[in-house]
Amino acid sequence: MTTDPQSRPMNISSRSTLWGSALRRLLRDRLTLLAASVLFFLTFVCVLGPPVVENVLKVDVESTSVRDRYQPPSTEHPFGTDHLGRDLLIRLLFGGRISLAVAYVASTVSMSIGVMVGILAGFVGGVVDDLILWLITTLSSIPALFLLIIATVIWSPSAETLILFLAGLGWIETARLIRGQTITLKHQEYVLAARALGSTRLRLMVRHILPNVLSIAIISMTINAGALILLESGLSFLGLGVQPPTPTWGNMLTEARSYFDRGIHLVFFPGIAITVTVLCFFLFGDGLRDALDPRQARR
Amino acid sequence: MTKYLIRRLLQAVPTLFGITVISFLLMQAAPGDPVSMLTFNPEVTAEGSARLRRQLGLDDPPLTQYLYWLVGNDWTQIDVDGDGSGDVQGVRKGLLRGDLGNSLVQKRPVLELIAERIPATLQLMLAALLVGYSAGIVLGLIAAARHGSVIDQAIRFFSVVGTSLPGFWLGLLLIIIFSVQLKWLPLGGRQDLTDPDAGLALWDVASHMILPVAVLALGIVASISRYVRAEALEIMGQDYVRTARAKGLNERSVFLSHVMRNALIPVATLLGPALGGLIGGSVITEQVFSWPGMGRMVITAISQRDFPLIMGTVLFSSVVFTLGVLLSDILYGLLDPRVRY
Repeated sequence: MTTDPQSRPMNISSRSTLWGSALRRLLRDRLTLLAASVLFFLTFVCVLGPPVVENVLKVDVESTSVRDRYQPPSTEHPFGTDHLGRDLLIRLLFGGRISLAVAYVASTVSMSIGVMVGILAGFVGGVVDDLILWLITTLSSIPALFLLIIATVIWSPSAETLILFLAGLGWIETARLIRGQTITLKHQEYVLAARALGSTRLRLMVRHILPNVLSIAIISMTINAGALILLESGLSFLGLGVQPPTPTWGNMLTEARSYFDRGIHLVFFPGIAITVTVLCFFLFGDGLRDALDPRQARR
Repeated sequence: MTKYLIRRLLQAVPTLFGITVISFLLMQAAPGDPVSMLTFNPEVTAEGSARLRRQLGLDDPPLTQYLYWLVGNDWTQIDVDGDGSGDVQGVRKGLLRGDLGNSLVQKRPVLELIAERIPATLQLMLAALLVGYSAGIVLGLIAAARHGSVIDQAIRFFSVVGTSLPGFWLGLLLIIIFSVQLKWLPLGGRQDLTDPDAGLALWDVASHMILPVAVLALGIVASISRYVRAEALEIMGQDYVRTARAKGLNERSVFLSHVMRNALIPVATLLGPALGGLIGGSVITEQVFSWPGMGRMVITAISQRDFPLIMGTVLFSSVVFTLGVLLSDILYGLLDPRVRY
């Protein structure tokens, strides 16, 4: 019935490394490649699109026009126009810049925190581990959306502070995973050998543990990025995220909510942008897991 | 089993303690206390507000404030006039005795307000859990049984897309399609079961629930079906399944009595996370569908900067969540003896 990947004949080359063979597996996985290409494309147009629109096409992004309100998609405005007569496609590009920045920066920061805290807790153990584990359990017992809601009510955030808040929540699950992996690793013989050779604790953590938890960290960072985009858009929907006129996909959708009877394209396009981006992050994360950890590969 | 129960219950204590500390710290960080809001009133003198501050204990050191907040101050005398000796008996009962304070806007106990909203939220959540779990289990088992087929691929695709959809967007689309265009279902709101005018209009109650429950259940269906599928596939590779086949059991019995029963046990552990997702998700879903539950109350409280009510709800949900996780662990321990080492 099920084929065990380990029993398959493997092409053992003398220069095969973890990352090298992972890359080879990744290049064979079409769905993951597709997800990665879509992400790359979206990032590319959202980073390069806005300056091109402003400087090359000389379009004033904030200019509003009463006559052009609620126009359905046409050749002039491929995605139509919004309630102030602004081109929806251009708004989406600008919004994507913020939404994707949130995803990339917040997930990178939270991965770094998660890795540091996780390795520290797992490797040092004892009271430090108890305290960190207590903090992790407590923080994950409070629904994330609620914590974010309170934080945004107390310190009404700009896009930058919002990224910090999201990063402040995203590390928790990563730290838990990394801690578990570190505890397994630290009892392995190669760590013992390194310690016997006189490696300091810091060197053990950085040179021997860190490289071996990195694959888990990268997988959880990718999945986190998708989850954080969803969280940010939910927050925007409640009117607590980045405030208009700075567009994000979340607050564009919120604005569109009041005008959906004037054209479904206003609701449709921002939502599809969020869904596709999140979907691609999740698929890419899944593919990375399969490539980096073939034993857990989906069958 | 008793030992496992007691140990697991004790483990929840530090978590619950942590939740109270974090809630308290956040409350301290919130701008403006109840008295500073009063000082806009010209009839309130500086001396009067100082008295009030002392009476409410706002000038006490944070640790004392935390203590009073947690266990109440009805066992001490409060020094209201500032002469160093107590004058008035405290009246607060404290968190541990169910005193979450009063709402600043509605001037009523927070616990009372939460209790009023709980039935509506619970109604949505239980329905979503029921729908989500049953659909998720069925889809997961089908995917595992037809592993590798088009059905399997479709179910897996559905479960990834299901987790990627922003709930409020899906809600909006559903409203546009079913309520605005087709006019099959109401735009939102809730038909109260206990409303005497409603009579036995069961459809009226149900029709208001269909869309919000669908939105809330989708996430659960996605995660449960994925989990059940992986679990069932794992079990299908076990020795005892091979033994069952070897002794001549037909494929159907192998799947139903050996694979399915064991694959369903760990689903109990997903109850905790599912509950967490539901609590967060209900805030957004209730807002989309104007469902008069706890989530909606929080959003109103936020727009009114009613901190005791916000904090009370957060605290309440966190405790419910912690207890949910606890319950699912205990359930797992009951179902799978291997856990109770």
